[in-house]
This record gives sequence, C-alpha cells and structure tokens, in this order.
Amino acid sequence: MTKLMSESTTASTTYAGFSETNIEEVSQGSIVVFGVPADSTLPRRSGCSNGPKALRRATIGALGCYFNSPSKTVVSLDSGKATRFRSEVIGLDLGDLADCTEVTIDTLKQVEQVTAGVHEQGGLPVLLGGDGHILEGLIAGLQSSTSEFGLLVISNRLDIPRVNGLASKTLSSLMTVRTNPENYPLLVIGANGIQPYENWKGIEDIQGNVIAAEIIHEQGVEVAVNAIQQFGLQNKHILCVIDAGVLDTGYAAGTPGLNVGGLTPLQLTDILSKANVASQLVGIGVTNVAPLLDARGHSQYATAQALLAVLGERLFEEMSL
Amino acid sequence: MSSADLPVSMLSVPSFFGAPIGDIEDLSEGKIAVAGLFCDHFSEGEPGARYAARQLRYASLPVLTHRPNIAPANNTIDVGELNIFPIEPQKTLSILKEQSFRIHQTGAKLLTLGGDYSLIPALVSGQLKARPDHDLNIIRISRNLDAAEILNPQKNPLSRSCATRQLGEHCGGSKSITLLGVSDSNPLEEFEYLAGSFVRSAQQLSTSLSGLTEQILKGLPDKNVSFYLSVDIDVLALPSIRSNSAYTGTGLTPKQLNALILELGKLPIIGADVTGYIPDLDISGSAASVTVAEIVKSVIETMSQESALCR
Repeated sequence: MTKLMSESTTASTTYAGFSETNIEEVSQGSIVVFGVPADSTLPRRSGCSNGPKALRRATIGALGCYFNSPSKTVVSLDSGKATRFRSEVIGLDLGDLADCTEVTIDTLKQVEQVTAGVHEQGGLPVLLGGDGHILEGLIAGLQSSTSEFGLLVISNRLDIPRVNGLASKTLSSLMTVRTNPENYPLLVIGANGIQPYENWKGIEDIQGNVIAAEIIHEQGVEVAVNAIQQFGLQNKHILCVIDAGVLDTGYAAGTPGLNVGGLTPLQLTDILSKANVASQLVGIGVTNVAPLLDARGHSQYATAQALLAVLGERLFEEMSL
Repeated sequence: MSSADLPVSMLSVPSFFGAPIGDIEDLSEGKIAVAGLFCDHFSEGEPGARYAARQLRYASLPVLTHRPNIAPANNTIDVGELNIFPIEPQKTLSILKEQSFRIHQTGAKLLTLGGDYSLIPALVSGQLKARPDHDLNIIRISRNLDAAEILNPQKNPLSRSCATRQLGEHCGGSKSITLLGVSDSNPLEEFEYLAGSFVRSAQQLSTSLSGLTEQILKGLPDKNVSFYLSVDIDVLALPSIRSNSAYTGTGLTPKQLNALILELGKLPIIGADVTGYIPDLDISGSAASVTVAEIVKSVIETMSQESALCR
C-alpha cells in the first residue's frame, strides 16, 4: 500500500497511549486510530485541523484516573463498582494523514484506502477528524471491504457539510450498498434545528430513524438508548459516527457550526455508555472538533469521553472488589 | 464651575474584596492574611491558575459594588503574592514553608488563592511548624483524591497527584484527611490508602449536608482539633468555569459549594486555600471570576467564625 501517513504523528501523544505504528502492523482485533486533520471551509468556522491532536490529548486527560492507578482500576464511590482499563488490548495509532489540510477528493480517497486496509486486516478503524465531510471517505472504505453495516450517526445534522467545493450530501445518500432492504440502516441521534426537507425524505425513503435532541431533552436519554439498542438488533455490524456538533454550544463551542439546544456532554456519554454497541462496531468516526474555538477545552474533552464510551467493553472491564 | 469643584472619584488599587493591603507586621491574632500563589507549572495539569489571584482581586470589586451587603470581613489583609522561585522547585518549597511559618507565627490565619494544589503541603508544613501544639486535620473539597504514592520526592518535589498523601504524612496519616465532593471515578489504590478517611462524593453531598460536620468529628479520635480547608474549583459542575481538571458535567453547583463551605464553618478552620481556578484573562473579571470570588468570600466567612463544635 502507498504510504499515506506522516512519518510521525503530529500529535504530542498517541491515542490512549497506544503504540505508534504503520498500517502493515494491524492485526485481528486491534483498535486502529488514525487522524485526518482536514479543516472546514467557509461558511463554517475553521479549526478542525487541530481536532485529532486535541482528541489524543483530551483522551489522555480523560484516562488520567486510570493511568494514575498502578492496576489501571478506578472505583466509583456512588455505585461501589470498579472498572479496569484493559491495557492488554492491542491498540495502534497510525498518526495523522500526511499533507492533509482540507477535505478534497484525494483526502476522501486516502481515508477510504486506510479504512479499507485496516478493516481487511481485522482491525477496528477509528478516525479522528477533521471536518464532518470526511465521513464520506470512511463509509466508502467500509463499503468496499464489508458487505453490510448500519450507520449510527450522533449529530445535529442530517447531512455532511459542503466543504471546499464538495457538495453537501444527505446521510441517507451515503449508504450506497444495501444488501438487505428490510433492514433499518440509518439512525441519527441528536438532530436539532431546521433541516432541509430532502434530508428528512432521504432518511424516510431508506426506513431510517431520527431521534431529535428535543425529544431527548423532553423524554430523557432512555429514548435514545432504546433506539440504539433496537438498531443494534437489526444490524449485526455498526459504524458509529460522533459529530461534536451534536453538543450544545453553551457546553462545547469548539465546532465549526453552532448548536443551541444540543445535547449536554453528560447526556452524550450517558447515551453511548448505556447503549453498549462496542461488540458490534466495524468502525468509528469522530468529526468536527475545533479546539481553538473553545477556550475552556470542553469540546474535545466531551468528545473524547464520548469516544471512550463507544469503545466501552473493548477498552474497559468491570471488576469485583 | 472651576476645575476645583469637579467631583473626583477614584477606584482603589484592586485587592481581595477591597481589603487593606498590608505586610507581615500588620498581622496579628484574629486576622486573616489573604495571599496569592503565582505558581502553577511544577506539577501536571493545565497551567493558568497562577493568574487566579490577580483576577479575583479585579473580580471581587464588582462583587462589592453590586452587592454592598457582602462587605469584606474587617479582619482580612491582602498581603500580596507569596514569593516563589519559578525554576527551582526545592527552593520554592522551602520559601513557601518559611512564609507560611512566619505568617502563622503572628497568630493570623493564612488563606492562599490561586496556584496549584501541589504547593499546599509546603504551606501546611509551615503552619505545623508555627503551631506545633495544634492537632491539624485536612478537609479537602475536590473532584480528585490526589493520593497517589509519593515517587521520587527529590526529583519531583511538587506533584499534585500525591499532594493529599503528602498532607496526610504531615498531619499524622490518612485518618487526618477528609475528602468531600470527589468524582465517581478515582484510582483503586488511592481509595485503599484512604480507607480510614472520611470521603463523600459530590452526589452524596448534593442530597443533604445535614449533620456533616458532626459526622466528620465523630470519626476523629481527638475532638480537640483544628482544620485546614483546601478548596479546589474543579469540584464545580459548571461549564463556564475552567479549572485544571477537565469539565465532566458532574460535581457541585456554586450554591451547593458555598453551602458546604459555610457548613464547615462550625469547625475551627485555621488555614485555607482555594486552588485550581483558571480564569479567562479579561480585564475586569468574567462571570466565572465573580462566581469564584463569592466562593472565596464564603471561605473567609468560614475562617472568621467561632467554631460551634470544638475549641
């Protein structure tokens, strides 16, 4: 395979302390992280190029309580449960995509190539973005190497944004390969605000489902958890995408767009922890983290926590005391 | 109208809650010396808390302007910033201990604002040297336990992650430590070290504070004790306040934290600190700084109270 990744990660630390390596080292069952520092372009705010680096740092911060423990175990005073970070898990960090500054056709092809390569070698691709449009490359990569999966998108939008001359696309149009038309292949959690009619229509046409942020605020996180669990019953394999834009701007302003009335960080991690889809994952994408737009650093931290919640039992195990 | 008739109104030099600015010779029994700690870089965590004291001085002025009913306690004196050596941690430890010792020798209580928690063991050490007859216990309000094993104290003399354990060693073991407002996830080994300590999570405290001080005293072998109160702003569950721990959405509200601090006023508090706050560096102090200033005000009130329960 052509060398796509930079010689060394541009981040100061690897994701969760994983080994920094190249794609040839990917083995069955490994978690393989790679960054795509592609920035957003007008009219959206720029800053996503720092997303992968910020997510790596925030993850180390979020895991600090585990890493401060010699046994990598933390205890909850409220529940009495102990949880261990599974340091024996094979985790690899490929670094960031080299020469990537904006989303272009070439960027999408490179993301597709890396995703397919990791998946074919039995790894779980985990993409750290970058602008939300790179989701197109991630989906294309998985579709070229696996037959069927459901797309779980945690986002305030029903499309991927227009960027750098590449047109906006509805989420439903990204699911080009469908072997079982009876399935319910797309679930969007946290949509908020006015969405174009064609985006709703597209989701309806493929029997997708949307749980809006407003419904979660009104009925609690259980409505989203139940929808994800139902989605998991119908789809053996799931690609999970966390768009940081799903978070309410009051809590996390570090995204290219603004979202008033979005989910709180606690709601987001609560939903993803309780839904527990770790064993069904075929890929994960985290997009739209623009750390410099959030002076307090909440955006990258909340998104890093959400990613850890999705990885769930792949990275953590409950212990008896 | 001549220029001599123009009304002239001057703003005072910013000090904590408009307290008089003084020095060690102005301190005596019953006074509270409020000092800034311009040091946040020797330990782990995000820097920025060094600016907290400066910002709290600015921010506490609007608190006075808009809330005249909370005028500063007349026993406080702003003694400026404590001296530190920015690139010499061992010398910083020594000089902090010496300054704390000299302030407490006057009979005054010391309240330090800003800086990093890793510096606090040095201040407590100085306090114990000045008042060797005091049986001192620590009350720490923080999300983190910070009770990791002390490794390489010569190489890393200032480490936040083991500062609580250092305080325990100064004060006679882990039973002298009370931890309030801790988060839901803390390292197993640190919990084991604190097995004999009084520990309450933020969730436990948010339901009720009733009888808390009595419970703290109940666990102590000697009821004739004094307390050092250490407040870390990371305990607040408020996204607009930045601390040196990342925001998780869990913790106490400012109202709950104020109520907790005032509840602890039933105990004899003879020293205190407020650490961990990283202010936005605007000129007049942001809403976050004003919130933290209100919390500092509660700490001063608590330190000023006569203990209802002991001594």
